[in-house]
Amino acid sequence: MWTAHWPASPALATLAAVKISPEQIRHVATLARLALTEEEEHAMTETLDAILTYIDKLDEIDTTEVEPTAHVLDLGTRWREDVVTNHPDTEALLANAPAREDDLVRVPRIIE
Amino acid sequence: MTDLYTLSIAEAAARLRHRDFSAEELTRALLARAASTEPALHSFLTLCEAEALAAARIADTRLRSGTDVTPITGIPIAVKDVIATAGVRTTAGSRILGGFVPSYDATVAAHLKAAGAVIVGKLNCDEFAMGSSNENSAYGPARNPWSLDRVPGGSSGGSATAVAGAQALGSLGTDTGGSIRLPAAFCGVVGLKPTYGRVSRYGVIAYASSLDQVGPLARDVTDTALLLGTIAGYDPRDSTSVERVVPDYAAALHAGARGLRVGLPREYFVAGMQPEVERAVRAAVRQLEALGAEVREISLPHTEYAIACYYVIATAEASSNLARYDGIRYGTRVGEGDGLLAMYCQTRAAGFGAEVKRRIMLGTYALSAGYYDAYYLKAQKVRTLIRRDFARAFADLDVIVTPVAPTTAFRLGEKTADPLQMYLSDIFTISVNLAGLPALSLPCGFDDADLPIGLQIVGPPFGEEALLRAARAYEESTEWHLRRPPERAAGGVSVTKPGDTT
Repeated sequence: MWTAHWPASPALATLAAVKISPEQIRHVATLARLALTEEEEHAMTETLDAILTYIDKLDEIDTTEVEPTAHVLDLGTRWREDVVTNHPDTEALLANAPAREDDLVRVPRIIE
Repeated sequence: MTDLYTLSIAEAAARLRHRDFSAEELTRALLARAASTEPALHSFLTLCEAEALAAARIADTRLRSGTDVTPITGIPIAVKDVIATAGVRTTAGSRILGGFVPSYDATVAAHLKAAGAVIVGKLNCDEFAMGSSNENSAYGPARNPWSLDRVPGGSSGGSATAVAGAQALGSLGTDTGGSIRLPAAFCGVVGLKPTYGRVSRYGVIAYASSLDQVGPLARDVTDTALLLGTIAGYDPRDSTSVERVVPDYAAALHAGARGLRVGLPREYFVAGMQPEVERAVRAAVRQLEALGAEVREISLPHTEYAIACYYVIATAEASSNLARYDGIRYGTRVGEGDGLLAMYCQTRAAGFGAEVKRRIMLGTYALSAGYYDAYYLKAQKVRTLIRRDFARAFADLDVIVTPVAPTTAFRLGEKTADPLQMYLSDIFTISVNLAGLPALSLPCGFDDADLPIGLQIVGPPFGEEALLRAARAYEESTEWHLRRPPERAAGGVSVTKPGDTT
């Protein structure tokens, strides 16, 4: 089987330095609106730690003088007329709603 | 008569025009083939028989009257399930979109329909196109027709198995880090990832917007060129699509390899590669030389940073793109009674699979306060260096040739426990996306287990013609593309389940 010749992927079990703590995982999960089980939290801490350790290899490169690339194309901002268009088939749109009432999407109460 | 499903697009199109058979007959042949092979291959998440037959009849009208006949009129094609198709379920391989029926067509689907192609179904893929083996599909993986205990590669796994297994004459996939080229290589078909901006992304479910690109998979280079010509072009609905004339790709096929300047990057031939892969790729390079190409060794020094760079940028973009799955307007909704925040969190917990959650978490972390500069900004700067490597190389080259992957198709389950090992499958394809370049994968041999090996040809921005020219010259002088998977495996006659073989 092929294994990376470039600084190998660290084996999950042998990691010493911790890049991300379970507390941080819980914080990030809240930001990402993801409910994680305790088991998932544990697994996520371990895998993200290994991946972040691998990603640290980017620090080998000096990028002080380098401009970031957000996008490969030099397109600038595309403009168009601000014209309202309506989809002709309301029913097709509403058919995907998890809950509806008449021609409206029903959502949980957000103001008490 | 030959089984119609074995024809190439170009052959089938010629015979449709001669009225040797009708588009409806051809479509029925493919649908029957799909039905008999699906238990083994699981290429499709949705088969659309009724829609396909209706489209075939319309194509027959066009063919009979001889008006509006394109190179793909009446040709059965299937598309990856991240491509929106009006009225046909589109899941992105995810539970969260399990019942989602788009109200409109993606531009690429509209182009296929306008050209008279017959869309026969929606193809299996890793959830939200995140994966290298198709094992992240919420609906179970497609299987490699060459060996059913092997992965087809991902994320466009079904797009490759449908073509290799002769369930469709061609397909569309998407490629964010290798998702067309890797499955094409693993399944022994041709796959092309166009230049970023060449093909519209409108209506394509987004994974990483600065990297995603739609492209064709087919049995040979000619068919690939026909499909690319159909889907390429400017689309005002995609602000990143480029206003640039679409060349006649079919015309580029016959230029030959004489005088073609080919670069061979030393960083892509590394210790630990499967020996048969290296042998096959080097033999292919010698073949190009024999055909008159000028080959020289080059260096792409930042290659080794591409995976790390990609997994910051792609996951950051994914975490933002996938924020839309909140259980409000469409998709699954869970935990409605517990308040809005709990509903978001539970909906997403229930709707997303493990790899998607992992990438959302990684991307959210990389973008979060205090880490943005260290990860996201740093990765964007490294992306610049990777682009510069290629720009420098292409100053006096037409194409770059590399392996598609360091190994042939691995076994189902072999890499699922270690995400990093899985990520490393894309080590030779991922830089191309970061640089926004076009690249093509085509068969260049087989390993000792009779599994296909892929050759990658990379071009400068909008250099698709050079890719097709080099690929066709090579293909014309070899017979790899004519080999077919064993019928026993593809035919569903004797289905081997993962674990049955050693």
